[in-house]
Amino acid sequence: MRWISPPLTGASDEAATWAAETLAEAGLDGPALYVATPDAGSREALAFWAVAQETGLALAPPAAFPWTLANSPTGRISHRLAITGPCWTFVGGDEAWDEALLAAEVHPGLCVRMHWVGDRLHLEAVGARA
Amino acid sequence: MSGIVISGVGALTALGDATTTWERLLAGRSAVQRWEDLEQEGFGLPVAARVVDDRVPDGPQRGRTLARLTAAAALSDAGLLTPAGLPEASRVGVFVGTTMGESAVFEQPGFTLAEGGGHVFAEAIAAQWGLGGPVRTLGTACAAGNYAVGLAARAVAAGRCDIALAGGVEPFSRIALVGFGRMRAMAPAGCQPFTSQRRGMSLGEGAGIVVIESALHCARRGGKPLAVVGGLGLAADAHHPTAPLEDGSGMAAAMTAALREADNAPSTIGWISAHGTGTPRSDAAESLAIRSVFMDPPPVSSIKGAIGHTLGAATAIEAVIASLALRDGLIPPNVSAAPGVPDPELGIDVVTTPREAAGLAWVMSNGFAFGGLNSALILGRP
Repeated sequence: MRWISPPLTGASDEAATWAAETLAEAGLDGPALYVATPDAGSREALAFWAVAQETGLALAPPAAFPWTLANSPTGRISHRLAITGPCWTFVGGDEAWDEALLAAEVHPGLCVRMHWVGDRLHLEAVGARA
Repeated sequence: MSGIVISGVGALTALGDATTTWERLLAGRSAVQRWEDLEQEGFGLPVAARVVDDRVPDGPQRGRTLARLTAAAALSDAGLLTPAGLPEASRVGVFVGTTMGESAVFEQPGFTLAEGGGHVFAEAIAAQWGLGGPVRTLGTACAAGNYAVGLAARAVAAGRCDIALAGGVEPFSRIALVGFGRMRAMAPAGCQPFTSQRRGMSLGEGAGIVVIESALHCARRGGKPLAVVGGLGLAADAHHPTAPLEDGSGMAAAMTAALREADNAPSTIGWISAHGTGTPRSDAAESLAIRSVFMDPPPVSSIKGAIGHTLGAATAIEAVIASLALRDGLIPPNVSAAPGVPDPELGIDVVTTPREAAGLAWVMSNGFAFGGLNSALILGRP
């Protein structure tokens, strides 16, 4: 099981890459992934539409479109860490973090260890509950 | 997940409300069409299935309106709405999936990100009736409805709430129309799932919400269950941002996980409500997956040729349709937006006309998302 923070950088792909590499460098892998994010995909949607307006709809960049989806960071991390089990994406504020922890707990026998990656504020918050 | 039931359903699709959508599906109707306004706006492929309903305005409240109307329909179907409102509101939770959120907010200047995020739909439903249970948003793209129903069932089973409204909401998204078009995922003639003529998907819009509670709670209040929630299976491809594993093994893993959670043998499944987007690769991979899980594959059909791919609402609407199929003992046909015949090379039994299935006991509903995130939800007859 993995615990990933909300994006620390403005772009979801950067945040996802950072999280995936942080876990990979630590030699961590696992069967499932739980991602909580306040706004993954939202800024990317704005940016994609702005570019489409500028270039014309017919020339909008196709490779950017998948990043307008909130679950793209989850897909990126699961791919990098070869996670083939349940992969969840919760959208929202603190409640999304809470739900990620609860969702992990309903897979009896699956959770052996929990690792999380997060910014200081959320590390403390999660740690206090763990 | 024993003892958890669906006791009410609501939907709004390009074919109408839940009842009308069901009737028109059985009649083989498709709402996929060309739209003049989209053509004038410069969309190269202005083909889609959109909700036409005077109650649903264009613009930045469209998705929230879909959410409230569909939730009200589900509560009413469950017999939970009274003139005084919704009893037990403090013990009702909301679990909603979406892909693009309130997309129109991102397509117009002057709004903030917070007004368009996926969380706005669940919050709108909760605010409508002052619901005090968990309010959660699942951002798992085209599989989000299955995730929401599964999570809601687990929340009810765990006693976190007595009743849950669960489903998916997806207002029409110009961003998605451009994006899928530029990825060459759209079919010029419309979505034709599992046919030899399939060339891609058609974008849809809509919402589907189901009422979930324990069988005991439902019986105590005099409700009537439509379906039982068997299990949710999840698996990831860990393969590609958008393309599925060609051998369908990730999809098969989700189906197997669902069977395991529901404690069902493959032979119990009487109908597969397929992901069936109509894209050549995805339909081929899903067919392979079905054949690998089921020694004798059950009948298969997809509703996406009828109402388009409603993204985050797709599997929620499909849960509504599966509930009605179980209620009526009928398997809806695989609707094609244009004339087409089932692809014999897929090796599955594609349902071409409504099929009587009086003994239909269990349905598997598949949903697969970008990022290689696969889901399968099993619903059964109460």
